[in-house]
Amino acid sequence: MDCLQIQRREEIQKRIAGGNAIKMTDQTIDYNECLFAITQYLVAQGWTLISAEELASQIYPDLQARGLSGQALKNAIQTLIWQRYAQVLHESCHDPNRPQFEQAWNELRKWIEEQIKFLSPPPHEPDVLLQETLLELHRRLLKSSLEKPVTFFVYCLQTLRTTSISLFRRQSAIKRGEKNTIYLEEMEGDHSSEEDESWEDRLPAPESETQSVENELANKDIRTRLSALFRAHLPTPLQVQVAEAHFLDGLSPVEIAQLMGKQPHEIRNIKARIVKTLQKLPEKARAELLELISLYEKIGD
Amino acid sequence: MSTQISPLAQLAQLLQTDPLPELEQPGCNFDPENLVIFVSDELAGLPVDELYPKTARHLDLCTRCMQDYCELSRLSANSLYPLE
Repeated sequence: MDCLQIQRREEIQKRIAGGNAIKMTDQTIDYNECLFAITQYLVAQGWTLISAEELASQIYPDLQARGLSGQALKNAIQTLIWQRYAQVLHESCHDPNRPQFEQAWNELRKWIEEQIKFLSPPPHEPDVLLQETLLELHRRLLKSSLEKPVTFFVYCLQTLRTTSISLFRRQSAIKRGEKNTIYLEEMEGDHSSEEDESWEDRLPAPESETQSVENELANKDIRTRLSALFRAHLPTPLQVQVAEAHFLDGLSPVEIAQLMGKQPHEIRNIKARIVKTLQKLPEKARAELLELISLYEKIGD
Repeated sequence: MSTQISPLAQLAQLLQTDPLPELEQPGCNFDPENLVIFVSDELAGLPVDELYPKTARHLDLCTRCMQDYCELSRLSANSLYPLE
């Protein structure tokens, strides 16, 4: 790592030190704490098909190996639980001959009922929505199992959303028949996050690579010009920051989201807006951007 | 698995692609089950841009699918991470 990169990394580390950086430790995770967290989670979700002890015996070795703590540990535990439970619930719901079939569907019903509260906008007839969603899931699972059972919960939520939209359209059509016009656009607000202008620049330094001094200087010059182009054409500082982090520093939307304290989908949404803005640049500006990208990529090879 | 290209190279490709006409987007042929897998794996911390580059690219271009993706991600994160 050269002096510039070392200095940049130190600056970034100073900024992060005051924030919520995830600390990686070598400490062994306590089994009882793990069990407690799993119990909390299962109770919060109302899941009973598998015991906390059984889950802990499956999850604990994996968690030990990762050596996480704090929020990262909490997220990892929750992820491992829902992934494992998705497979259990999917198996139980898919096969009517399983002894837990009825219990599984009851549990799924209660879980989906809870998730309806998170829908935006809220549905007019939540009971009807619940029934139709469960019917659709029942139909789907009796036909065949999911390609990836671990995605079962997200699949259920997708079914809930699409059923909600279908119901809304049906209700709209009925009301239009009664000369009360309701437009589908009322359903589709822009639920993307507001642009946050108070984000601090906490980008990690780019990975070190072997470059000649000339290449490195040229690279830096092109990077500065690309950055200037972003600043000139992107409408908000947040879009500029995301553009630099993703396109110049190569960070993924998930990594950027972690640094910015946002969700990956918020970053991906911003990225899509950036792409659309840049696609609509005047011909000259677009050509300049493409040329700079081509040079940057060439030097990086 | 697809050959990985840098985000900047991907941007160059996207800049040379015509934006999807707004009228075509409601009828785009994108398989919704691909979105489920994408969102689920992204929540689980997998490198989805590398695993599913076609899906990632489509989301960059299609406003309607991006809306679906945002809403599904939001719902999933709320539902599956109840412990703060």
